[in-house]
Amino acid sequence: MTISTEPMEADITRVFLDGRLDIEGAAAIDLKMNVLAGSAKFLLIDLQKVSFIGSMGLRSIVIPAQNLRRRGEKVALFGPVLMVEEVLKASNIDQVIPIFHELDAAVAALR
Amino acid sequence: MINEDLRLADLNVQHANSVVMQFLRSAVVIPLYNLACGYDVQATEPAYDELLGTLYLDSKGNIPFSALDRQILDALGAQAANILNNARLMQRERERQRLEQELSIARQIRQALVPQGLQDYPHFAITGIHRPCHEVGGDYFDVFSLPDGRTAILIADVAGKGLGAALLTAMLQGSLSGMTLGVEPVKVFEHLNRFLCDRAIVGRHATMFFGLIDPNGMFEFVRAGHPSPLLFRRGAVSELYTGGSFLIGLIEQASFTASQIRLEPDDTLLLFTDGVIEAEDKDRNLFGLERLKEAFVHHSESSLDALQSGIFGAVEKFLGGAQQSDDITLLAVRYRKQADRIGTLLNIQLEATETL
Repeated sequence: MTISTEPMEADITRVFLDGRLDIEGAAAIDLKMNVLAGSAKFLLIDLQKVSFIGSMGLRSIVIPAQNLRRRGEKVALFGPVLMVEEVLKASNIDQVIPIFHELDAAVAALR
Repeated sequence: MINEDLRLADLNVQHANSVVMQFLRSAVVIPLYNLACGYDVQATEPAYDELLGTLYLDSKGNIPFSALDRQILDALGAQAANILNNARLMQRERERQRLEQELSIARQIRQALVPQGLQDYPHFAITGIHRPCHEVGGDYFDVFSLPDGRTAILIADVAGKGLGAALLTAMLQGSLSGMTLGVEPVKVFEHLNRFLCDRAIVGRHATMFFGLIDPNGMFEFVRAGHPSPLLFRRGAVSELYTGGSFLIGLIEQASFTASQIRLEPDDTLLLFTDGVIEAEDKDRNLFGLERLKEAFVHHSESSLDALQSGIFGAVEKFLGGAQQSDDITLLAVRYRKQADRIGTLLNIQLEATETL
């Protein structure tokens, strides 16, 4: 699992995750995700290249997202593959972090 | 540093405080390497990859250490390195044995907390199996009777694996057993969620499915992000529910609701953890829900034990020798006609009367 970031317009930080978000994958990104949650204003988590998400992987996304929300900031998820989206929806994560498949819509929601 | 005659040494060494103040003439430092780490058979030199310590000797005598002295010290150094290495290996082995013993105790306690030899209940039959992928696991199931005549069935999966997850399953089991005191399941779920969210440092959350079977067939259940149990009814398999639900211990504002269905005689419920549908073969293909449904249908007319073995066998066959990557738990429940039970009791009474 790799993680990289790219600044976007309007204080949005796009976070690219790539690989399997299983126990090992979650351990690989947790620290960076928490640092981002402490510094970013708006976070767009790009899941297009995440092929698998397990239970610990959910935590890697939700805990930083909740920290941002507590500060009044916003988070959105972008482009999960079917398997990943099913897991997110089965856990009602989509009710607390919106999921988008159109980049423009995701950016608009974060502005 | 290896130096024998300090008068021939580098000026910095000759003028070092420790040498001047102590009038040292000779000093030898022999590094002690762990040669037991193995030699590369292709290499001409041994693999000095771990420094265990040093052997140091100095002398104020006028005569520096001789070549023979040095040979003796080299031999002594090699011997010392061996002894140090053996002592360290012994210590590691003792530590490994101690950890293994503690894990074994944890496994025994964990197994003792899982219902053993599930009995048949008057209104349903049940069987369950749990296979952790490590010594202890984060999956857990329980079956217990409530004072109002209903029977509680629970299956849970704590995020992660191993001892950390197992510790949380024990905590969950203790909390959920409180339902025997008449506490509403939804309230217990909400309490557990708050408890774990308040202690986020624990770093764990869980999926759970909790059901209450009434002898009249009413089945009330509460779910927390757990995969839907499968229901086999009149030749077809369906999921008990669709749509999501919050996990326990991940989202503070999570809420939970109870639902219910009425079971029909011979309905069979299959409860499982995601370790079943996410079992991966060597090419990382998932066993998946469809294969589970197929295996369920294939063995649905069998006894519950045979059904369980059949499904477990299908998962193992799919794995094809690949290492199990997650805990696997299956629980099968078959509802019986209440009338069957009454009929059985009447037959027993009639037989007893005839005997008299």
